[in-house]
Amino acid sequence: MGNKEIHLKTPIDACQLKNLRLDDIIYVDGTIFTIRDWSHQRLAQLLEEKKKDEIPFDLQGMGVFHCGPIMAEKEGRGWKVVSAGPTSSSRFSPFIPKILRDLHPGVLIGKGHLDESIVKDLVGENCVFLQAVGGCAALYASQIKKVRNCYWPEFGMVDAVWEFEVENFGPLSVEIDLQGNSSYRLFRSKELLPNLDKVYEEAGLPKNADYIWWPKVLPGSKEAFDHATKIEEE
Amino acid sequence: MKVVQSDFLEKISYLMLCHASRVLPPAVEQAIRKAAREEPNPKGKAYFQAMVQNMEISRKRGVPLCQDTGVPMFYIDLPPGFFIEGDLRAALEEATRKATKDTPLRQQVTHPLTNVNSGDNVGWGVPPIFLDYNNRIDYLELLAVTRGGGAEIKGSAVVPIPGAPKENTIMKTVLDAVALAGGENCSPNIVGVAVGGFGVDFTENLARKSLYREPLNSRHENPQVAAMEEKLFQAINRLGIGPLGVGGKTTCLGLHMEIAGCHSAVFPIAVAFYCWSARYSRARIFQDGRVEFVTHPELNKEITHGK
Repeated sequence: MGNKEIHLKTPIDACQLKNLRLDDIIYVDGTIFTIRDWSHQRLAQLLEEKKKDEIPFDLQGMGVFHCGPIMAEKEGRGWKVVSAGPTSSSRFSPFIPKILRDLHPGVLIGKGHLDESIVKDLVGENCVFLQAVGGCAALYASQIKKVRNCYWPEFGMVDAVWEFEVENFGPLSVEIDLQGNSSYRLFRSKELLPNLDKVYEEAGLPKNADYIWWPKVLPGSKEAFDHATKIEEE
Repeated sequence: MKVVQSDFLEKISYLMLCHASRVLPPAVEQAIRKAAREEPNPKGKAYFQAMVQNMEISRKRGVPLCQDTGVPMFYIDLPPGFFIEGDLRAALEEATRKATKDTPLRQQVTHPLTNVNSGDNVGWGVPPIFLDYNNRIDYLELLAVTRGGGAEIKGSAVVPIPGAPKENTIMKTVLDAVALAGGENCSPNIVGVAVGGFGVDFTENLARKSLYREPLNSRHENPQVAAMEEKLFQAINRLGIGPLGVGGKTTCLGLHMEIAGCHSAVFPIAVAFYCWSARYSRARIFQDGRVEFVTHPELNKEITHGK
């Protein structure tokens, strides 16, 4: 396990990433692009339709930052970043494998976790997942030295793709490394669930107690479909 | 009788929204600083230190602490004998528009079906205004909140089987909700719990409003509720989730629980989270027109009295 402090410079390649370990603290120099909901969707759609050449920017070796920033227009002199921290990455999971495979970003920077199924895609494409500290948007904005470009402005300020030049962009921690270790999986299995068991035991809570009447399953979920078909089979 | 002009509420809520997005209530800031000092896990400590640095930078630069400034929300508690004159909704909408432009807050409010963004955080029924008739106070209380989506969506509400053992059910529901969120609700959190009320929306609102209780982590006046609060607070902090789920001693900055009467067969439980960047601003307007900015006394430099 890490905790080393390491600086990465874009374009980032596998050589720079192969020695990183979970929990190493990373600072990035170079170029990052903000990608949020609508741009993930647009990217996935263009790649699906084999229209890669219509993507107006090149993510190869660059940082992808899951972020919808607050930007302000400087009078006649372009844009400045006001506040820019990470957003919850788990909602981008469906789009990420295709983006990794076709666009080869250097690192993904976000918050929280990615679906465990993506770990193998990250390893296969030599990309790591870094977590930025949620809520530290003033800090990260102060490390963005230049706003280079804005793509797909029709998505609005928050969902457009912003190209930033960053210096000492961090702290970021390694959450999925190239060995396929995932701190999310590790923390849940080794710490959180055992702690939860212990707290339940101390409180005298029976294991697997089910006290809930409603909702039995969440409407609109896969479980709701399974529940319905199970009843049909019975 | 005390008449408060909606124009005046517009003026102070504008100041409060701008300020709430940049400076945390002192008790929240102190709790984060304490957590940073006491954290033994090096990764957790690095995270807490980034939070402290973030608070300092946002104050110095006058920029929002977090890019997710949420859907602005207002709570007004009205005591007996106080009346609001004028168009309150229009006033709070105007305060939101101005604060969005001047702070700037993130342009957030979007049509739920077309994704069209109003550009000024006003539209389609928001900002929400929660009005309560409160006969236990003798001042009008205004709360302005800029609360991000990441903590909001990880809250939940359930209806247990009526015969289930109450304390166990509440405990399991709250701890499961905390463990499911696993820090992705930008922990350490203020956790709000509500039990009872009719309709889960009522319960959820009660849980959400309890997040802003002051003093932070103070106990309910009902001893049974207070005992549950303490038990839940201790239990959550033993989960070791720490900041953003990277592991650490501090997972919960405060736990507030509220109760309300309920249907005999329906006792909903709701859990609400506030991220560590618990941004809200509270003001009181007294009978003589005096204004007290409770969480941000520095605003008293700008306004002390009004009509």
